[in-house]
Amino acid sequence: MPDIAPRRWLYLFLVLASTVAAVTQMAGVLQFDGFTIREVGILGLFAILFAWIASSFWLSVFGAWARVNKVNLLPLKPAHEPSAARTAILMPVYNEDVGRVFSGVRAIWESAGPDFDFYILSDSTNPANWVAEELEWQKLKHELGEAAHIFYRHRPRNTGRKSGNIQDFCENWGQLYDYMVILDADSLMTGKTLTQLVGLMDANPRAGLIQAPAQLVGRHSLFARIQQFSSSLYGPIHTAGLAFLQGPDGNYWGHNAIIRVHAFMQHCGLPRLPGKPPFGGEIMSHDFIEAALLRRGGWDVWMAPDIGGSFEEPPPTLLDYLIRDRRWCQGNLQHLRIVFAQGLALPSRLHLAMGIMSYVSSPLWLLLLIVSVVDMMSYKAPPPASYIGLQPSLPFYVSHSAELVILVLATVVLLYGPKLLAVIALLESPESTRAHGGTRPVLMSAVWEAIFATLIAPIVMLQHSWYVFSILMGMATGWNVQTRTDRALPLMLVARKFAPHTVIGLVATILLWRYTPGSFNWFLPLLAGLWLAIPLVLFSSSPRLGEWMRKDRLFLVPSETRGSKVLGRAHALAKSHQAEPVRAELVLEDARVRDLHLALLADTVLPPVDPLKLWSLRERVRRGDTAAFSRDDWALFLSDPEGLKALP
Amino acid sequence: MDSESRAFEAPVEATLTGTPLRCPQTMTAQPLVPWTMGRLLMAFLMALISVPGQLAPAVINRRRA
Repeated sequence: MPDIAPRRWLYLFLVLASTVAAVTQMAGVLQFDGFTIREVGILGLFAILFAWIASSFWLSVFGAWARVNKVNLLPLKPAHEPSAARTAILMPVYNEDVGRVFSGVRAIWESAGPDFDFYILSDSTNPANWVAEELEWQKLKHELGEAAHIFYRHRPRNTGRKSGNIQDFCENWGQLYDYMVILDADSLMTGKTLTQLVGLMDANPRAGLIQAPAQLVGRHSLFARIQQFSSSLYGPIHTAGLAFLQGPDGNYWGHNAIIRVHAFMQHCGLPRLPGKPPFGGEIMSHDFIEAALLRRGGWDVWMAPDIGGSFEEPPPTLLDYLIRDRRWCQGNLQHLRIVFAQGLALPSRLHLAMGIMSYVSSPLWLLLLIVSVVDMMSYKAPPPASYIGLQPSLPFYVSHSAELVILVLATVVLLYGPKLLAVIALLESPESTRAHGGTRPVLMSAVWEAIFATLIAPIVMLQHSWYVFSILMGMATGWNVQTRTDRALPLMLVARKFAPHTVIGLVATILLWRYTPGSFNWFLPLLAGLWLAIPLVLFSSSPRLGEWMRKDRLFLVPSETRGSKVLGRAHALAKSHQAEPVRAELVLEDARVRDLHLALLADTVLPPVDPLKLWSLRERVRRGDTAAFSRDDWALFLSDPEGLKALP
Repeated sequence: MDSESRAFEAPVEATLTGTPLRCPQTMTAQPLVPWTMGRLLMAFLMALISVPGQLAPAVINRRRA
């Protein structure tokens, strides 16, 4: 294995050197009439944020260098023999679209073959989903036959959310397996990739986890297609940079990864943090912590950036993206309590810190903007000299335009340089260029993506700032179901959600125009994003616009131009799955559904329930009075084998 | 209903189970104790005491040799 310390030192040096250079330049601008406290604040914020974007820039430079020089980014021993290991593929689900989940499972099973055991680990709290999942599982088992080891387990209570779901699997069936592959409800992996991952784990007994970075695929809205293109274009150099620098100190992204079960069981039991959410309670973003615990336990955590065959879907709209970010933001801020935990490796702490910073940077940018504007507004030009000659010191204006332009240019290079590097790296490969639609479509798409990313950046900044503020104020979020289907958002919903951003943009425009007219143009890119917040979110949610762009060969990704067997199969199965929605009442109406449900319930460890409540529910069912049953009532009754058996 | 009808093209097995037999083994919650100034100070003091203690036998042996 190559020594990665020199690369890390070089990376650190480059980040620090570029930050010191920029801060020195900025200090030169601010200190001409001495530093005020506000200017010291500006300098501090600028230093933190410049270091943050510099770290991202240099990561991409390292990634591009590694790609161009064809560096082996996964220096593990290759697998030679067919594996005798037992591997479970876990699909945790929580009130997901049942048809899509089972289409995905079937597509992966068909690609991977019968060597893998599949577990659909349901935490669904919606009783209709629960019944529908059971029916789909029975159908899948029947269609695939005895060779298919596809298991289904429903937990009556979703304790510990996704990490609790996986822990429940490990505690009950973990000992049966050498490895487990964790998927998300919208994840897909090819059989070839799964076999490769198993082989790598076999050949490298110190490997505790290998992350297969997922390519974003499968959505059609304009927003999602831009995300897919962006991830396909910039992802390779980003992941290459990460893999190049982190080596065996990698991270885990929650799914599309293979894990050594006994290492996970020994080291990754998660504690409840003392106190209440958002900072206490269950650990929300468990993946980073699990990777850190594996490293603490002496296991290697790798990323396999070139393995391919690993897919997931992006959120269909900016609104859905931001809703997901609320949860991620809380999870990452919770890591503030863990980042200084004893025994963690320094790279693990850095992963946690970078996760925190990816959200905290937004309020810091906002604060920097506000403080800078206030500083500009309070600047008083010195009075004109009434006489010359004996005046001990003459006031004169000093222009700092040159220094400021250099700083702005440096920032622009840091922000857009990685995009340019990624385009160059892509265009180097004719095959990859063709897979993205050709040279002209790649260039056009990259320009439009950069414009779109610039415009949505202030919207995301405001939203993240609000998230951070609300979390610091103690407001916690729940675990909501993610929207995973394309949908054009209704105007009223978008207007309601993004009116604050627009209003903030308009107020900022008036203030800047009124008090700092000379600097107004510098703020235009920021303000434009806020003015256009509503139309941007609205139009980018449109699947029709996305389709139109596809026909125009914009934002194409390899899965669209070359196709992928597993993706095509999963989409075809999902499309053909036109079942009517299943109702929980089916368990009462159809004895076969009830028998199936009871058979599966026999495997379930049921929590204690209030006998009076149960008796009341049984009585209401007996009288046929279920119309007013709440979701909880149904969930409780469906968890009552005695009541179900007593039905006629 | 499609799912319902397709699910029951074959009869539900008499001994149908959703999962293999359970093999219970609990996972222990790992400690995530953060460093505090007090803990850092304590660790430093412990190191000040224990490191000379660990080095002492080697120094004594070298002198004897």
